[in-house]
Amino acid sequence: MNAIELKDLEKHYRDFDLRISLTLPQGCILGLVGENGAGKSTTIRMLLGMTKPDGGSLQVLGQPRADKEQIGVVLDEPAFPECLTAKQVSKIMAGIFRNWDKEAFEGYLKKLSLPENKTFKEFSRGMKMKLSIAVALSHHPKLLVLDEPTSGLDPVVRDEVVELFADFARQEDHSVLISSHIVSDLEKLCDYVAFLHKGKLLLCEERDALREKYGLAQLSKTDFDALDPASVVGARRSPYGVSAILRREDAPAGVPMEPVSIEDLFILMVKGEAQ
Amino acid sequence: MIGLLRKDLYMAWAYCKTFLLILAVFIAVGLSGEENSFFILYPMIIGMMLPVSLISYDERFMWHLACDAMPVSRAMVVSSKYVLTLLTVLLVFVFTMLTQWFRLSRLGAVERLWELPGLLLPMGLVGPAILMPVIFRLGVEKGRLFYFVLVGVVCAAAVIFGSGQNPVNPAARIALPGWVMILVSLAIFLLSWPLSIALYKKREL
Repeated sequence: MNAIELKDLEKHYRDFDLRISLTLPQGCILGLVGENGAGKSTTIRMLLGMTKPDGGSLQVLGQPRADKEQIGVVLDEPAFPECLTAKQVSKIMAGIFRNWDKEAFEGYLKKLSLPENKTFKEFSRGMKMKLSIAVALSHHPKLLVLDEPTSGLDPVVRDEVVELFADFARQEDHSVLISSHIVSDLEKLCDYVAFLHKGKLLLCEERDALREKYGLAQLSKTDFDALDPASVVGARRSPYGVSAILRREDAPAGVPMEPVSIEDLFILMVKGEAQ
Repeated sequence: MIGLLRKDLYMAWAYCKTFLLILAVFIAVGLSGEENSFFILYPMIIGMMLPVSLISYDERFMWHLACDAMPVSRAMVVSSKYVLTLLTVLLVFVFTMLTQWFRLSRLGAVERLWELPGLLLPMGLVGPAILMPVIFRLGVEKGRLFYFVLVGVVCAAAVIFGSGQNPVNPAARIALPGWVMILVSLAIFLLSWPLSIALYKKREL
């Protein structure tokens, strides 16, 4: 079963159109990469039923509507009233989620060094995000949907948080959809990567397949101009030559290529000179 | 629903302590022997504002977005605020009735106590019943603005067409029996509830 299936899901605003199809197989982590305003949050909101799509269809954990008992959500902004303490949040969530696990929540608080009795107002941004993540994990969800969960966090906290998601995904029926513009986090974590740019899906593939399929070549201008344009995914010219992402199967034999990072691939696909 | 009400109680305790203090002062002043309808009615005006203030805090902290991402339907979000309004109105009503019973029995005029429900309950129910559908559709800021304009229009109409009647408390001048007033206000409140649900479901957050 697929954890998520989006088919031609559409949303139209006055100055922005989003159209996306993607599949997240159960037990996998999919990273949705895109610049700010690419449509990542809108996609997540449609997935969760927070925003009504204008077209297309979706399935979440085999259902046409997301069963939020089975989904742990972290929004880009932690949305708890500032007067609440973690202890009170637990009592509130016990009245909201059928499967709320107080012990698991307290375990996450300890693991993430979060105080039980301090108010949310006194938390740093990192602590607020960690509390949101603890809440998302403490009702035993099968799917985590994370909208920019690492944005604004320092590298140490980011690493801690990414480790938590990886732990969650170790169970084979657990899946994660994570959106971010911090590509390095996704590089460590994801099985699948999807690039979203200005409301359009540029690609959605397995992370390892991306490395097999594409390579980064540093070429002279003459060598670059001699290439078959069909083999070039994106390129950036500099006074010293051209950095180009090439399709390995279409590139001429003998062109030296390095493994491409997701970050380079995304940047060159979006900003580089398309052939 | 229980989780939402629990959250509202925590928030009411944290942010609306002043309300509770004012409520206590006014109820205490209402105990004094002097007849002053302002002190009797004002706690209800404050009480009915409490749920609206909590909706305002919800918007400020984006709690309404969090609810959308949890197993909480929009009908449940709306209903929790209506239930909270009912609880608040009932609580203030009971306290006011008890204090007034105490005051009036000292004056030997307990029979006048029964004039109060027909005034207190409509006051507590009709305001939120008008305000909440607008707030759930437009948000707190625009909703409040709409409400103030509406109150202004009603007061102006009362002055223009009411032959000098007191516009501040037109309900007191309406010659309907108290129980009819209660039933009418309850009906308005119960009609407002599904209307708010329908309007909030249409709202794009």
